[in-house]
Amino acid sequence: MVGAAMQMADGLKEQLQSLTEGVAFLWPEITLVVGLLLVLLFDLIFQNKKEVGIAAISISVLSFLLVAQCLSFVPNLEAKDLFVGLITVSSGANLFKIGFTLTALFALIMAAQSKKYAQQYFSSSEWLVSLFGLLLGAFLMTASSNLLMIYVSIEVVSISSYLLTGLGKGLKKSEAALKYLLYGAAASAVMLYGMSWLYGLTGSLDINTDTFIVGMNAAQPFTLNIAIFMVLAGVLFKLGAFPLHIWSPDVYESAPMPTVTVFSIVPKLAAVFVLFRLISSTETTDFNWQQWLGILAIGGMTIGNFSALWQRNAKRMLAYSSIAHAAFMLSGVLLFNRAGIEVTVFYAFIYLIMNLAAFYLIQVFENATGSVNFDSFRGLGKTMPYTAILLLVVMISLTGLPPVAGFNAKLFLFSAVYEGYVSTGDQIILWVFIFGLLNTVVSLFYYIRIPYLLFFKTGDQIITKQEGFRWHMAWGTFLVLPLFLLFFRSDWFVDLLNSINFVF
Amino acid sequence: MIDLLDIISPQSSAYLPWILALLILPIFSFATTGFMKGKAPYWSSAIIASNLLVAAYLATVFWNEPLTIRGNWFKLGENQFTYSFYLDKLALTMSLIVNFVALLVHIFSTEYMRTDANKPRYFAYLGLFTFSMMGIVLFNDLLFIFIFWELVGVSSYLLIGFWFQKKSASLAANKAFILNRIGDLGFITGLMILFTQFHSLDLDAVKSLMIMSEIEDGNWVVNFMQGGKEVISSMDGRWLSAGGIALFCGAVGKSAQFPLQVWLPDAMEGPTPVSALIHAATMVAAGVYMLARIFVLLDAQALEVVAIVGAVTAFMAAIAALSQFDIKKVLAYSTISQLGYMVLAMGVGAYSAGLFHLITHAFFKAGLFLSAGIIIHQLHHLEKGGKKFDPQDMRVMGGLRRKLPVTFFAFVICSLALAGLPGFSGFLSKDAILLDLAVWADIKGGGFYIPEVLAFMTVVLTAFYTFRMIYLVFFGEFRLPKILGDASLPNKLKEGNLWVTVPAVIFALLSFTFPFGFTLNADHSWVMEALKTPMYLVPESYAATSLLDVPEETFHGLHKTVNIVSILLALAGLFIAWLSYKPGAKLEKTFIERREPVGVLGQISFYHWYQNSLYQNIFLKAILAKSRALAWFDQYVLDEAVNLLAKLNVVIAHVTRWFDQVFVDGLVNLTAASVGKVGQLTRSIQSGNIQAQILVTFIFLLTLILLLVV
Repeated sequence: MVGAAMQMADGLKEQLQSLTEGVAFLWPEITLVVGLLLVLLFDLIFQNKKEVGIAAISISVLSFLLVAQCLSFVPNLEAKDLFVGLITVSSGANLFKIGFTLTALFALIMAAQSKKYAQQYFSSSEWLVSLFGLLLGAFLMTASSNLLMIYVSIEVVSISSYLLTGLGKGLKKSEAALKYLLYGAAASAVMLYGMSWLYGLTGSLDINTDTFIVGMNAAQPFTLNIAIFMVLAGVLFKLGAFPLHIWSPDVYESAPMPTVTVFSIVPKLAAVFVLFRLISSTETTDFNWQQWLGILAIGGMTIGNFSALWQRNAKRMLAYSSIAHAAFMLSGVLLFNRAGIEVTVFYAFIYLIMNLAAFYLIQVFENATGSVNFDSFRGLGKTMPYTAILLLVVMISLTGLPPVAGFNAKLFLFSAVYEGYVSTGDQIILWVFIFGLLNTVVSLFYYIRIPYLLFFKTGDQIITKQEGFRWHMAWGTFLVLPLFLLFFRSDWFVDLLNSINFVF
Repeated sequence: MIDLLDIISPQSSAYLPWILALLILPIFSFATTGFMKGKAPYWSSAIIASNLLVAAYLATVFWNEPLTIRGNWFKLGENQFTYSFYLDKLALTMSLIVNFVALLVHIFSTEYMRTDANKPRYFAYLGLFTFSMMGIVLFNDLLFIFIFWELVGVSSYLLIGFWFQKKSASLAANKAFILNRIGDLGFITGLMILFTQFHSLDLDAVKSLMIMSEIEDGNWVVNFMQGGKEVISSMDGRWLSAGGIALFCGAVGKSAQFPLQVWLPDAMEGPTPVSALIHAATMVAAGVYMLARIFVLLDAQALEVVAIVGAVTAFMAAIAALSQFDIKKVLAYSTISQLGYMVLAMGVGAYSAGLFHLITHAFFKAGLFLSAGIIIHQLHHLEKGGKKFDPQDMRVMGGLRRKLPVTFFAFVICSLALAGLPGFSGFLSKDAILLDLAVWADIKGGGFYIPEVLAFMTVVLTAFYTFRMIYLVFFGEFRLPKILGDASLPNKLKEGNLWVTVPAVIFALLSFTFPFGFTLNADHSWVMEALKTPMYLVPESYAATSLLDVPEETFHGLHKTVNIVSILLALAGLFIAWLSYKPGAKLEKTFIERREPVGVLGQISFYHWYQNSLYQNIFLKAILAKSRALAWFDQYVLDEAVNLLAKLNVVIAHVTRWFDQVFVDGLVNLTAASVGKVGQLTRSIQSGNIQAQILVTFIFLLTLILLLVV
């Protein structure tokens, strides 16, 4: 008895120790929470003219976080389990976190520059608290190695997203938020149900433990397939991938631009990371990942690209485009070899830059015309030539043509997919490859439509004033320049990726 | 075995800046003088004077020890190209002469060009010329010599055509340039032959490898290392002769030798001081200088060609000089004739004698040209406010001795040197050539006496046309007043001022024997001592008999005979001139009325053996006929074929357009339409109804599960 008690006490002691040790590794998350509380307190303490203070606090917290994360980034960190296996920190996760912080910071800059959104974002703390919450959830998604933790972090992201969609006035917004919530609830339910199956099969929630893996291997294939697929549904929901993509166009259309920017990047990349983790712990089971993901990728890119063809609204168009891009990332994930991971991460980061630039520049046009409908872009190439050219470059990059980094991303991805086919001989990979190439051609039709309207059509509204220097030009150039840089010297980023120790 | 890269390994010297200064100062003058306006003559003269000082300084330092500087330029494959300077007595002497004559010509031109509106341009061109000439003199690399050779051609072209408003001047400039190009074609061919054989154009390398080359079974073979790799170059032995003759072609163009000499008389369209500098003293001598540089590379056959061309040129030009009316034309033909002597000297192996004549000729011919320039300049003043006449025509001169005494003095001294009378520089150098020529003809025998005969006949002719000129210009009556019917003209004619007379007199003084040694025997002159004839370096079986191998006694035996014969022949020429053109003689009296010489011989002389007509009526016509034929071929055969092809293309284009519209566009439209349809299908999921959306999602999920699991 005493011995058992001693053992328990020892175990408890160890666990406590691991908890206290773990706290040190969570400083980015803690910083976020502190920032969130500061914004909240500031909002409660002060009554009037809170915009400047709230903006300053939030932007400086995120800037600090970005700089500190970049400085403390170590490429070949050994993966470390914290909090009794709830959380795993790794270099790959840190890299993604840097990307998330950058996106959030840029979303705030976008909001601050727009008259329309600055008021909404910074006059009270609600938006920023939700945004920080979303970011915190995304951070935790990249770190979760426990089914429960995965579920909780995904829910944190989801709930923040519902709030961000619904906050503010407008019937359309409320409708979109409600739909989003209902849809998300359904997806969550399916995932949670799947997780309970997994727990039933293995008796463990920690996906990195031997018990979990042994239990999975011993499970009956049919049951296992359905269980994993149901868990996958939740991840696909966050990824915005086929067949759980249906929410995204409506949400993108009605949410404000800075929010959409975050939606289109942060949860998606976090979901990709969760997917990596799920795959790495179920690789040896009977679940045929390649088959599943292959079909999802083909379906996603086809549906995303073809539906985008008919859109007349830039935000909806980009929503479908992001569905297609999610599918492209899935085709990198399904290779699950080292090359597959690297090209996916490369693609993800180029996608991050391209999307930031695309949304940013479209917001510039939205600020000028007040609309993101295609008709409002007509003839603006003449009055805002520099911005229009920047947008053209971004669209070319999204399509995946040289001389911009979008081309490298697609090139590396397709090369890796083809090599994967050659080395495994798996038919589905070949089909992914063929569909990927065909869809790239289709995507040209709708991406190039905006520049076409800008330069070759004449608009109704007559803006005679020629565009002088604006700050948005500098920001736009700052975003577009890396696309050129990474085209010509993509080896810089590839070398960094090579040095990173991707352990999930 | 010797390595080529060792021969041409870089060699540096602290004197490099001084040598570069010789090049940079004139090109600086070229670059800046154009902006100096009225100050241009003084500015450029000062620069050339300092250049002369630099040349003099270098001469004192390196007179006894030649200096070589070499550096790597660029590498093409295995072949290292270098630049190299070589300062031996020849290069130093030449750089002194070029700068000295250039300086005096600058001074002379200050007065001569005083009223010309484009004076700065003129002096700038003179700077360019001096720069180019210094390049030829200083570089020891055939490629660089060729580059500067071409630059000299350009500056000559610019200066002949200086008064380009005159049609004749621009035509003369073109003619000079084109005929020089023909010669340069030969030069560059020679360079290619040497480069193919030796893989370098550095003269040191070429000479070293020439010593090592041998004739094996009629093949010209040389064996050497290049950067550690063994190279065996072999070509037919005849290429050795061909290479020498090809290089000589360059000299034929530049030094106005038969058959390219016709440009030099026309080049007199340039200002007279330019004629003195370029077309008498320096540029035309560049060909002889180049021959001296490649002298050791010439084999017996090439040297024979050189000698024969030289003799023919000397004789033909002397005949042409007999009957000219234009004073500058007489001097031009005389220059060609004297250059023929120099080339002849090179051909017979009389290296020292040829270069000696080059130096003496540079001074006395420059003196003659400057004196003629004074006459033309002073006569030109009479044109002001009066009737126009040709101030270069000897028919308007006569009796100028009294009006222009200083000019008369300079002109006569230089003429005596030209005629080759004892006590004057021309006597020494010409006798040296004639002596070597006599020895050479004795060794060769047979038909090789012909050059000797031609050369000795030229002595008579030279003395004759020289004194004909003196009688017509300086003796008798001043004919111009009678022609224009203006008796006041003789009083208006004045001697030139110091700007022009001093340079002429300096050249006259240098035409005496004493600057070259107080002797009547050329062998005792310091020039002959300094510029010793080198040994031939070509393989033995191809080499000519060197005059160095001929015993001294042979020379001594012939020396007196040659001396006496040449003096007698010169005096005979002088006597005939006195008989025919002394004041009051028959020819002198009718001279003024003549439009052109009478009789077949007179015509041949006046029209320079009809060489120009030959070129214009036969060669030029043949070339034009050929180009017309080519133009016809181009227009009616090639163009027609192209047009046919174009028409065919248009027909094919129509067919492909039809195909494109119907099939390709159809396919594209079909694709677009079907893509659109699919898009509408996929979009239709997106109804606004949330229940429907969730339902659709679940149907998808279940379908997938059914598909994959079952």
